[in-house]
Amino acid sequence: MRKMIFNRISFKLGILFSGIFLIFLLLLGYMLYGVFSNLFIDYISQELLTRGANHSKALEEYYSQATLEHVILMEENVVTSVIITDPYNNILVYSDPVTNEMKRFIGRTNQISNNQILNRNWNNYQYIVSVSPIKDGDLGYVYMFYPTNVLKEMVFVLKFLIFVASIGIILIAVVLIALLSSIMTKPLLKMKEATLKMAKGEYIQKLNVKGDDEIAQLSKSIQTLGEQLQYFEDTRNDFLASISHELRTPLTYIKGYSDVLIKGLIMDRGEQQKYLKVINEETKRVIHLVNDLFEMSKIQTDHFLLNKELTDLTTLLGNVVQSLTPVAEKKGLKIIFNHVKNISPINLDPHRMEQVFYNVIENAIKYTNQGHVKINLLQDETTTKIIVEDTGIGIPEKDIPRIWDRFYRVEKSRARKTGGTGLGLYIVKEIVRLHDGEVYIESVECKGTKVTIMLRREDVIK
Amino acid sequence: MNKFIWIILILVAITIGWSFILFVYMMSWSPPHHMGMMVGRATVYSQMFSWLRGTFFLIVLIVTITLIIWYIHDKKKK
Repeated sequence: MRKMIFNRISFKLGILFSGIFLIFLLLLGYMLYGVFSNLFIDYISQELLTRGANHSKALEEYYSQATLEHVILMEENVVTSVIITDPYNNILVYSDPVTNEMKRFIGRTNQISNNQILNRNWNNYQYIVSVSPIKDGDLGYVYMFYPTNVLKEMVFVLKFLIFVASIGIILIAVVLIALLSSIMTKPLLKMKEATLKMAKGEYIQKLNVKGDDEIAQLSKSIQTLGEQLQYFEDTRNDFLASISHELRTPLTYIKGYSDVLIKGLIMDRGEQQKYLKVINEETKRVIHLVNDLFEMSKIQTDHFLLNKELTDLTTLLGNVVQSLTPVAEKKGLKIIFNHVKNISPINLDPHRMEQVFYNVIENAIKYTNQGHVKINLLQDETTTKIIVEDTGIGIPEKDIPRIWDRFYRVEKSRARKTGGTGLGLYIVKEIVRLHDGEVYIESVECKGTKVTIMLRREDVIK
Repeated sequence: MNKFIWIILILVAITIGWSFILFVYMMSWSPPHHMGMMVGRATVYSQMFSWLRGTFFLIVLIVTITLIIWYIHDKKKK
């Protein structure tokens, strides 16, 4: 429990902010102490100098015993003390008893001609001392003393008040920092809990983080990530179910028909051919499925290489249309191929692009029960457009944005019936993207679908 | 730890903090002595102790009120 508290981000943040705050507060306290204590010393020094100079001036104007006594009288019953000496630093008069420390400052310097501070070290000495010469020292000197114990008491009060204020500020600041750290990190703890649950498989998580800052955005990202993971989990499960079904059906056919042939139950040559044809068709279906999966895996691992060459699209598309015409006719559909004349060859991978056209046109035939499938090949100065239009069942509007996703199928039941793994359009989109082209889909349910593939004419761009 | 203990600790810390700041404010802007801040440590200590006495009673009052609320809350919960 204790370890958990120390490991919390709120605790670490609190300690960090409190530490920074404390350092700056100590710095401020030290600076304030320095400013005020030096201000005191300066004030007292100036005061001593002024008073010493006044006394010296009075004595300069009328030097007599009466004046000396008058000066001493002025300094009685006050904090400061005064000592007046002759030019040879022999003490003449004093306001308070002369201590040994006072004597140490008298006569320390010879021939002082200006007012000056002899000592301002209030920590190590008992007095702040100033000296003022009387008539440039010819008549003597006025020594002024200010006891530092008074100053020390004042500085102590200053230090004490700064210390008390600092303690008060620290207490309030630490509490506020602790509260704010806790409030600020609460969403992070929620997100941690949510991600732990997501790791256990509970992908959909609700995080009610208010605002639009980075933390709120992160929580939204986590929620979106969870939804995406749930979607991929669902599609993966559907895909596995679909793949199992897709593989099981042809494999069951293959096994059943081949068993019959192995056992020699069918003797008629024509019947045998029919059975072998079924086995062949089902094998093609499995190969198609495995190829799709292989393509997808190559796209995802970036091993999908294009062998581009200048290709005549009219011929390429014509071949695809020709090979799919029997399928369309079998369903009673009309397949129309329109193209403008003199279509310039385009630099592309013909095998991959053939796969694209095959997938799109086959889809159009697969989901059209009556009417026609129309293929238009157009070209302008910069682009070549391949438009595949059908009069089929269409795609619901809500499914259109996801139609290009891997394993996405509009209706699972419909997909099982028509076959397919939900990979066809994903492969189409990726191949077109690798050709630096674009593909988009427009569809109205029960009316039809229009797929447009746009490829750049690289010769023009260059 | 019970959240009421945290609340009590927070309230005590804030009360002491504000009390210290107000004491310094009082000593600076309306000192109790005619000498202002130029008083010795004995006077400051004496002022501080009498101020803290008041703070102590205030803390006792706050803690008591919080404990009463805690007791009522606990009873309702049960």
